[in-house]
Formats: sequence, C-alpha cells, structure tokens
Amino acid sequence: MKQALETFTYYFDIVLLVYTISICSSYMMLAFVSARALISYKRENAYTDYREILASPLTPGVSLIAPAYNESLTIVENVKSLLSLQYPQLEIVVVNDGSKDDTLQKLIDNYDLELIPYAYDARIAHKPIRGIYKSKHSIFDKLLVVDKNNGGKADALNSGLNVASGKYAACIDVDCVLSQDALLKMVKPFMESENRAIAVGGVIRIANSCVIEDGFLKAVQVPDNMLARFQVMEYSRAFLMGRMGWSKADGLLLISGAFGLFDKEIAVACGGYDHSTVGEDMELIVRMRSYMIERGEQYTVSFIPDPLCWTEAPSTNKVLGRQRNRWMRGTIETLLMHKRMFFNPKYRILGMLSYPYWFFFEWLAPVVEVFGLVYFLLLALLDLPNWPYFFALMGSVYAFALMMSMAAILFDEMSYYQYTRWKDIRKLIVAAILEPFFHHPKVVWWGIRGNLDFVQGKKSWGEMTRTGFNTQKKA
Amino acid sequence: MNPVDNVAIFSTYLQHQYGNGMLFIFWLIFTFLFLALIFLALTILSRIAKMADDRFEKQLAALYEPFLLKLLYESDDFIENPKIPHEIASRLRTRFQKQTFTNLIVKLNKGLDGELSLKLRTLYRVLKLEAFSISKLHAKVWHIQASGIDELREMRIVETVEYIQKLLNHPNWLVRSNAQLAVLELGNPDNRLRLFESITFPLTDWEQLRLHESLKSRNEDKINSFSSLFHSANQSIAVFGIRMSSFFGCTNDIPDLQALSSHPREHLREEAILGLMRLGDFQMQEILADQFGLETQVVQLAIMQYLLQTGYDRLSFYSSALLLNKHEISLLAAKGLARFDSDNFPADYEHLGLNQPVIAAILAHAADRRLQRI
Repeated sequence: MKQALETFTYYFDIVLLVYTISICSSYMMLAFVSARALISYKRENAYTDYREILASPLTPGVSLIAPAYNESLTIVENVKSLLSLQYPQLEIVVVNDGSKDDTLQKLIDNYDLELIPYAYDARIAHKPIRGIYKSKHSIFDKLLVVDKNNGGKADALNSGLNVASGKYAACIDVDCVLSQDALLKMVKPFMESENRAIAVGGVIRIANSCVIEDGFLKAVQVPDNMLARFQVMEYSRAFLMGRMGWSKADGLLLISGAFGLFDKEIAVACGGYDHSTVGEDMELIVRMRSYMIERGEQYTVSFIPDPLCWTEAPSTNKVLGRQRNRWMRGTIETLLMHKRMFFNPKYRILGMLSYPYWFFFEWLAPVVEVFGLVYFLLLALLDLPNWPYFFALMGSVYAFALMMSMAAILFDEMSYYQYTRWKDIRKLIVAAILEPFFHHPKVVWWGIRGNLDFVQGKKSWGEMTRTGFNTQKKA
Repeated sequence: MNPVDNVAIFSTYLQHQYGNGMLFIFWLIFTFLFLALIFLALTILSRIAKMADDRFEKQLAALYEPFLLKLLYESDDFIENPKIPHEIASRLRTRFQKQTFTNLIVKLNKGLDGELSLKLRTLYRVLKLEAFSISKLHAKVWHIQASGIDELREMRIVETVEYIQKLLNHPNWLVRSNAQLAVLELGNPDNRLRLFESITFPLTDWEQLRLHESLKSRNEDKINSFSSLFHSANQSIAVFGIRMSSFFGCTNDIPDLQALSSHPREHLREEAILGLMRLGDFQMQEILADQFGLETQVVQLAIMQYLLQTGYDRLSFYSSALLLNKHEISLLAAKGLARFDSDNFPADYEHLGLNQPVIAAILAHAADRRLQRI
C-alpha cells in the first residue's frame, strides 16, 4: 500500500510539475510576444493622424450597439457620452431590453423620441421588437432606440445587429465610458489589414476612483478600493501581456463584451450572439473564426493596446464572485461548444495552441490548483510532505506571480502611461505584493464555483450591482 | 563578505542538505525576484526618464524657439544668405540632438507654407539634417527607415525621390505607405500617377485613405484623369484609381468607367458603378437596369444606388426590385418608388405588399425621409 502511494505521489508530482512549468512558460512567452507587439504597434502608430479618418469618404460606417437593461439612473448621461464620440459615419443603436424601470421613458423624454416605421432585416432570431424610436431633432440624428421584450444581453445585441446599417458593428456595455477617439482607433485595423479583418478588440480599463465629468473621463487614478486595485493588476496582465500576444500570434479567442468592433456581415452570417451561453462574447469570436476557417477565407482578428474603454469594476467580493463565476461558465460552455477544435490542425493556431491554452490554463487551472491543495492536505495527514520543498515551491510560485505583476506595471508605464502620479505606482506595487495572498485564492474559489455551477446547469448571469463612477458635473 | 559570497554559501548548503532539486528551486526564486526588481527599477527609471524628457523639451524650446521665431519672422535674407548661430550648430553633433531638432522643425513645417516653409527647409539643408534623414533610409530597422522617409517628404526634398522609390515594395507596410506618400508628393508633378506602376503589394484601404488625403491637401489640379490606373494588374490600384477619379470629379474618365461597369471582376464593376454615381453620369441608366437581373447582390446594390442617385424613373423596375426579398435592395427600390408620387406614398404601392408584412414595413420605412442608412 505504502509503495503504491509512493509510486502515485511520484508520478503525480511529475504531472503537477510539468503543468506548472507549462503554464509559467506560456505566460512568459505571451508576455514576450506582447512586448514586441506593443512596441511595434506604438512605432507604427506614431505616424497616424486619426483626424484623416474624420474627413475621408473612404471611412466605413459604424453602428454602435448598446444594450440597456434597467439603466434608468444613468442612461441619459451614457447616451450623451456616446453621441459625442468622434466618428463621421456613426449610428448609435440603444437597445432597451425590456427594462422594468423607466429607461425607455427617460430616453423618450430627454431625446424627444418618436416611434418610427423602421424596416429591418431579421436575419438573426431574437425576442420581438416592440418599437423603434428616433429623435424629432436633427442634432440627435445618429440615435436610434430599439425597444424590445427582455431576452438578455445576447438577444439585445442580436436585435441591434439586425437593425444596424453600418458595415461594422461596435458592441458595447452602455455603462462604459469610451474615449472620444475610440472608434477612429478601432476602425483602423479594419482598414489597414490586407486580409479581411473580422473583429477588433481594445483594452478595457478600470474606472473606479477615476473622475468622470458629463460622461467623459477627466482624471485617471488607481482605485482606492483594494479589490478594484487587484483587478487593475489582473486587467493589465490579461490585456497588455496576454491578448496583445495572442493577437500577434493570430490566436485571439476573446474580445471583451464591454467593447468590440465586428464585421457585421460575418457576425450575422454566422448567426450572431448565442443565447444559450453566458460567455456570448467569447463564443461569437470563436464561431466567427471557425466560420472563416471552414470557408477557407483569409482573415484577421486584431487587438489594439490603446486604453479606449473604461468600466466600473465590481468593488465587493459578492459581485466580483458572481462575475468570475459567470466568466468561468462562459469559458466552459464555449470550449465545449467548439470541442471539435481541440488539437485539430485544420484550425491552425486556434486548434493547436489557443484552444488547448484556454482548456488547460483557463478552465482547468483552478481545478488543478484546488486538486493540488487537497492532495497536499492528504499528504500532510499522512505526514508525507517534504516541508522544505513545499515552502520552496510556494516561494517560487509567489516570486513568479510577483515578477509577472511587476512586468504588467512596467508594460502599463511604457505603453500608455495612464497612471501619472507616483502615488499610483506605489499603490500598484502594494497590490502586486498582496494579490497572491489575498486575491488569488478567492479567484480560484470563484473558478471552482463556476465549474460546479456549470455541472449543475446554472445559466443565470447574476445581478451586477454597481456603485457608480466618481462623477462630476459641469457647473 | 559580499552578497555574492553569501548566495554561493547558501547554494552550497542547500545542495548538501536537500540535493540539486532544491538548488534549482532556489535559483528559480532568485531569478524571479531579481527580474521583479529589474522590472520595478525599469518602471521607476521610465518614469524618471519621462520627467527628464519633459524638462529637456522645455530646455530645448527655450533654446530653439527664439532662434526659430527670429528666423521665420525677422530674417529677410536667410534663404539667400543662411547663417546659423554657433550655439545652435554646435548643439547638433549627436544623433539624438539631430533627431530632436529635426522633429521640431518637421513638426513646425507641417503647418506652414510659402516663404516660411522655404526658410525652414533651407535651415534643414544647411544644418545637414537632410543628409541625416537620407542616412536613415539605409537603416536596417523599418521604423527608422519610415521616419527618414517621412522627414524627407515633410521637408519636400525632391532630389531624394529616387532613393525612396526603391522602398515602394518594402516588406514592412508602414515603410511602403510612407514611401508611396513621399513619391506621390515629391515625384514629377506632371506624371504623379507613375508611381503606381511600381507598386506590387495590394493597397489597403488605409493606404488609399492616406494617398487620398495627400492628394486633397495639395489641392491637386494637374491630375484630371486616373484612367491610367483602371487596368492595373494590381486590382487594389484599379479600385483606388476609380475611387479617386470620382472623388476628384474627373469627368474625362466617364467612358472608361462605363466600360468597367461590365468588367469580369465583381469588385471593379461595383466600384465603377459607384464612381459613375458620384460623377453624376446618368447615361448608363438603361444599360445598368438591364444588367441588374444578371448581377451579384453586391453589384445589384451598387446599381440600385446609382439609379436612385441619378433619378432613374422606370416605375416597373423599382416595383420588381422591391419584391426581390433582399432587404437593402428592396429598401432602395421603395425609396425609388417614393419619388414618383410622394403625396400618396406608400398608399399607392401598398398592393405590392399584399400578404407581405415585410414589404409593407419597407414601404413605410421608405416614406420617412429622415431614415438614412449609413
């Protein structure tokens, strides 16, 4: 029995070691590729005059689709902010997804909307549209409000895709604050790509403690709330050191639902957003990519590192837990829906690298981590652990995490220099030191809960309560 | 005892006590922590460097601005008799100094024209910054080549066009794009379009946009035809030519565009028809209306836009197009119908949509003139 246990622990240790080395190496490789891509992007765009897009007849039309559900408190300000975006051929489609509050009435009153006879091509199925509204005033000419029965975010976005008339569709969360030139920057990869660009994503930044004035970002600050600050670290690592690298390697599987720009024709042709998953943003990208590959068409999915979209991060464990739980379920659902890609050379880098990465290091990482912990506790009960090795390994994992977080702070500093105060750098360093002790265990737990909820067939989004931005209004 | 000795002793102890595995982990921790410190130091240094850059820029501005202002607005004979103060010339020894000053005058020159620009360009030459920019064309790194081309273009150094021409098919798109702009702007004004004969890479929409903006900003009046590009083997150049022809109102090109409207390539047909539409040519109405039924959906849409824009008035054509069940085409067809009898529209045509709520909705949409598709 003892020998069998020893043999098991020997091989299991090797499996864990290989897993750890693989995950750490992939993070480092991604960071390296991201750094090169970031430098290259900055150099290429040093010559870009985005104002040229504003005046050019070659500029493609963009429809910005913003689903709104029970957003009565902020909808007027949010739409005002969207209306002020710099883009010449812009249409803003706000979809009221059957709100129970007076979201629609607020829009009607503030923008003087009236019901119009708008014919749209219902190529994607969604819950019935009750009416489409447009303002009586030409200054709000860009605004179109769709009122429909409640069907969830994916359903609202699908109705927006049907109604939209632009060549490209930007899907956003209505409560995000976009930088004024966000669309100008996002549309460029579509125009400069030799192959057909089907989707472009940008960096999502955390706006907690930032100063927002009349829907515009006025001052950037590191959040005072520690939980939000940990998320700043996570977002920097994920976007600047992860997605940038995947984009360069042509293996990007996720464009955040908070802000992404899509080739509308392809998004509609492959069926739009899937209602059956809570990870509809990732699922759409995977489906669009497989659609193009299966048709043998050359295409690109790009990611740009500019800080274009600012969002409020959850500032309580309860809300953050729900969000991470949902993200995990969305990942699992998407991976299972597209399991044919797993190590399938037909899907090139997507099948051979991106999908396995997400499978092993995004889906299974919390499972492996918890399994390792249980295994260690069992060994401890049997008095088998080699304690010096245990502490040394823990130390190496912590040192690695710290190194990656410090690299993220450096990336942030050298790319877009968002946090200009010394105080902010200090806050980020403190967050980097504390995160592995106080935040990471919770993230693992939420990941496990996501797995368990998935097994139990839970499909809900979970309520996302927000405390609101640090807003100031002009006198 | 120095820290290196301490580390060596500790490693030996670990190796003896726990074996090579532990030693490996120790070095791993050491490396990660060391790198974390390096990244932290780089972050702090980067911040300090940014602050130093700001200070340096202010210092340079304080040094160069009075000289440049005097040069631009007071010095009347600088072009004939250029004299550079020693304190300026002596500060341009290193590459960094040259680059900083070049950036400054290139940026300044962007907003200037006429004599003021000529003075800056003279200064650029006298200080041998032109040679500095030319030397960048031979750099091995693409972004340095791209910046060299940009500087020479901005400072309008016509003599360098031959060097730049060699970079028109550079593997890096930015070098190519900057070279295209430079050759277009610096090349022989009587034959600007010749540059397109040398381009083998496809022109992306972004490159086309930059070229168009360049042509526009120079108030180009020497190009009254782009037809020489229409039959380029590089399809993207033909598309660019068609687009420019219509944007610059080259009515001379109408016969060539008419011929292209039946070209075997779908994209060229589409662009040619849209080009004719923008030029206001209405001679193709009947031909294109007849061609409509045989066309792909993309070209059908272009034809429908053309016919609407040019005021085509065959009611039966719009009626049958309305019933095609292709949303965008039906919508345009309904807008075509709306023009015939706007007072009674859509009532007069509602019978077409008998039992078809989609058609009825499209007719109602077309009746509302505010509803524009982007």
